[in-house]
Amino acid sequence: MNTSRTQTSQGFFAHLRMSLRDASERIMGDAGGWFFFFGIIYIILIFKVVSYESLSNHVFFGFYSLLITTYILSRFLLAYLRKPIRVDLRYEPTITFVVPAKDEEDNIAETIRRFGAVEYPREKIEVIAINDGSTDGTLVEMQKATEAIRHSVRRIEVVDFKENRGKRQGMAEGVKRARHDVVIFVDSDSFIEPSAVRHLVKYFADPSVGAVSGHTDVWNRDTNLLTQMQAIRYYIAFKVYKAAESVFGTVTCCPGCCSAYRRSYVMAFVDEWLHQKFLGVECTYGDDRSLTNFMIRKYRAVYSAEAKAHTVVPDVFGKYVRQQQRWKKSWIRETFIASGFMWKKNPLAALSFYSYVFLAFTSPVVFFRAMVWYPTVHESWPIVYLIGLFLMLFLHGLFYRIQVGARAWFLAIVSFWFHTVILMWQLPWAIVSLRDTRWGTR
Amino acid sequence: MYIDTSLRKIGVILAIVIILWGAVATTFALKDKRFGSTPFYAAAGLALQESAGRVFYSIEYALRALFAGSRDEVAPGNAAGIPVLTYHRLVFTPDGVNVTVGDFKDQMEALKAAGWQTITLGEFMEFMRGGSALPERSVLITFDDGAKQSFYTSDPILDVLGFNAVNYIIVTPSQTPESTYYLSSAEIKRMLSSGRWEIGSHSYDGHHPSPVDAAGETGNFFADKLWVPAAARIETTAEFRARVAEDLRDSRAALEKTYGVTVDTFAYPFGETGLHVFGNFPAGVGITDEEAARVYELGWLQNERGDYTFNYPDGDAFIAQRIHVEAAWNGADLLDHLEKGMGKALPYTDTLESDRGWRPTWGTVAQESGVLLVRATPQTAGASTFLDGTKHWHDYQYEATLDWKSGYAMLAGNMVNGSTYRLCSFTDGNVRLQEVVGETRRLLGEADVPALRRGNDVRLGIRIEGTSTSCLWNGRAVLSVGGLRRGAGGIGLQTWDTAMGVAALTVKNISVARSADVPAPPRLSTQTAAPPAQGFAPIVEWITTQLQSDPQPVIVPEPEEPPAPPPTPPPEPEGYSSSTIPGTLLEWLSADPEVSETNATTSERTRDRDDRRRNRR
Repeated sequence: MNTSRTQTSQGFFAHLRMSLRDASERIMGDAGGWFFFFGIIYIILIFKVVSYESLSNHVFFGFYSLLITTYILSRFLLAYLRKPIRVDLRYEPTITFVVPAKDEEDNIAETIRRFGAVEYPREKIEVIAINDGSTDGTLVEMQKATEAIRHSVRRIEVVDFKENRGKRQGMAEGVKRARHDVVIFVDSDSFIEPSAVRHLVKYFADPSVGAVSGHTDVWNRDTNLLTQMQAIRYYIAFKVYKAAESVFGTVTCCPGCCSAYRRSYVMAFVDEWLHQKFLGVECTYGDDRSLTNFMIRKYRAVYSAEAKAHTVVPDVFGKYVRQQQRWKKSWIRETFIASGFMWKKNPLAALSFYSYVFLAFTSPVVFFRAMVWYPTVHESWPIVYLIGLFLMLFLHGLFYRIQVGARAWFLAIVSFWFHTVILMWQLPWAIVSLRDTRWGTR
Repeated sequence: MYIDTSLRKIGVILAIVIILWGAVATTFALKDKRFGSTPFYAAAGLALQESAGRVFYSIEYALRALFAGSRDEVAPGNAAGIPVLTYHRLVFTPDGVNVTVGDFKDQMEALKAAGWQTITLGEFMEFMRGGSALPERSVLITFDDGAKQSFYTSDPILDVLGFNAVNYIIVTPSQTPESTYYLSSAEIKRMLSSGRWEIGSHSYDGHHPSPVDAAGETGNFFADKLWVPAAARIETTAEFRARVAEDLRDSRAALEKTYGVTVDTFAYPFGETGLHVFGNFPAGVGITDEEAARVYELGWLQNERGDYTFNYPDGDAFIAQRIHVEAAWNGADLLDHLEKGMGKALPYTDTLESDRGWRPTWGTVAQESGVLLVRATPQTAGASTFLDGTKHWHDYQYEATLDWKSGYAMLAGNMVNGSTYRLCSFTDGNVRLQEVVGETRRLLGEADVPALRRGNDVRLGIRIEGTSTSCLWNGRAVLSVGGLRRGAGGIGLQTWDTAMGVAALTVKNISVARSADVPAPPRLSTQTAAPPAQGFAPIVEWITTQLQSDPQPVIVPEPEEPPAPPPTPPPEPEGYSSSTIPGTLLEWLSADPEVSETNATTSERTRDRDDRRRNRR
């Protein structure tokens, strides 16, 4: 920084701190960061070899330990090997933005405004906004916003449900009323980047592709600790885990905040999806995961890291927990359904899928044994488990730090720990409350 | 599949995999080489501990050297005796049994600062044979058991201070695979290659309580007859001897074979820590000594109460003593202990302002306000003390000025250890000269001195010159006996009374001079036991000299009964007080020292272990 040469002691220390930060940036940013990253993997490997003996006495836990390490490392490997494809300017399918909204008067205007700002031929865009029985001024906002972008898009349609029918109905309505080839679902509190459209549609050049998930970051990242943690979680979930799934085209969930579907494929099962029943109860939540699941039966779902969007996340803990609970329930349901056909897919994809299912269900058991049963019986800490857990979390945090920069990366570790330890218990609870179809408080 | 299998990416992945695999393989190979079969996490912990220690100490000492300069002076004078220290393992948190790392560092620094330096086993053995002179402040440091925490914790400190040490390895535990307690052979090899360490034998597999009966009661591998399960009986003496000899031989052979160094010293397991032996075979320790002496050059026992703390040259002895460093000692404590044990030079004067090393053997010994208080406790009839660091003295005149209220006041000279010395025993009107060897007490001479009374500021003394010894009172010789065995040894003090807890001496001044430098004090003229006619005196003296020359050693048969109880204060045998009759010449002539020995013969049977060991060959 070329500030003035006033050598006050304060200036000197600030300069020093800045230099140190620059230096650490440089070290962590490139080779240095990766050195630490692989250093952690090295430690993890050593640890696995060393704890082999103690684990080989317990086949189940030894297998779990080996599997989870392999699984996580394979996610990084696959994400690395994912091949992004270039935007082909000659391939420009017509697109429809479908945005269902309920009580979203604060954000809907911005969401819709951005549809008008996308980098895409005007005449190939249409917008369908569905007001799902809002009790606030959402409809008014919707009308105002769509009016404002009338000249940036080809066609606008505002659908008004007098009574709340549920998000599925809204999305289905949008799909049915759409006249273009690619439907892009955007949440009413999500904001897409202008370049997102091209990066989403480029994959549809491949006829086997039925759905594309965009990369969604957290809009309100800096609100509080909770939102910061979610920002990290979103980043890793997309950049590592969805990317790994995308290699095989078996992304299991193209999230509703920003995903694109080929309309013709969707129409084949839209009603089935709309009236989906599970355990004798109509499904209301998990619409995006369910839709993706229908799509990947026959087609591929991929991830586009370049199609960026932002979404608003819960900043209140209670709301957040309920959201997570909902997501876990939909995960259980859809995973159960997907298990029925995933074996037909690419063997590696199937292996990844079933491994993840196994790990997700056994993690609470392993956790309980390590943290409750073992200390009670042996009166000592389960060092192996704790160190292994910490190393994995550290690996994720380090990845985030390298990619994103010095932005509370330690929090990444904390957030992962939180999700691993505290929220993993939502899964058993979700199984129990599967039939409860309430959204909770959105 | 949307996969990028470009050469570049595959190449990167392969490179990373190879590097990682190589790193992991190298790590384990390195661990095996350096730590042997130690489990990985223990090895990692030790590596961390060791490197942290080395780094910290190097920095600390570099800084210290920078600011304080280093001391390179060699201590003046030659050592009369060498102390040997015993440590086991060093612990980080105090446990009341083992020395802490902090204390060890403090101790080593204190020694270094005071000018002490370590010697090697070879140098020690050479010194003991009388073949070499060592600087006055020389010490040998030993560690027992070959525990990991005896090496990793101490070596960084020893390295920085330029010290060396010896580690006593128990063979079987050192071969335990994946031990986190004992050093593995890879580690011992590394220890030896550092040049700072030597090893000795701590037995092959005798360092644990061993069964002495069918029920599983345990005893000492090297001292008790063990149970033979196959034959359902206790082993015979021959079997004991064979077993012990085999262990001793095999441990030396195994260690020499594995490490390629000469192993010629042996540290007795447990025997030196006072662990209670089962006691079914009193001759056991003797047999062990014999067999050990056949295999090794030197055997270590722990210094006990009544022993000099340092080792003085003794070419024939197999056994040498080690000081067990207490967990409670810090640097100043250890230094004080050693300084008190250092060889003292003649002439010697002790104003008793400070404790120069008066060690209690029994009773209490205290020093305050410039006096030495030697007192019986309520449980004892007497008290005994000796001055550490005087074992090498010979031919001296030793006098003590003391307040004496009751019972006997006794001065000991030629004190070889707490139970072997020559004693001038004074009481109201009487003085005796005795030779004490273990449990046996022999009267060498006796005299009545009516003027000799208890009181304050009484000056008692003992003078040893060549083959004669005299007991002195207030500067006069009251009893002289000639034709005695020449000897050497230090000085001590004792007191005794018939009742418990009564005997007390308050010593105000001690002075010891070479007998050659001080003329023999004159005889007390009122000595009633002197021959009546002056003219006969020389003849009488000559005759008694002949009669008393070459006193016969007391022959002790092989002990078959349980050993004598632990040394209690030597009770004054009842017979003594009545054996003296103001004698005529005839009685003087007929007084046969050997016959007049009375109930000391009750304990004639057994010598204790120390005596055997120190006086063999």
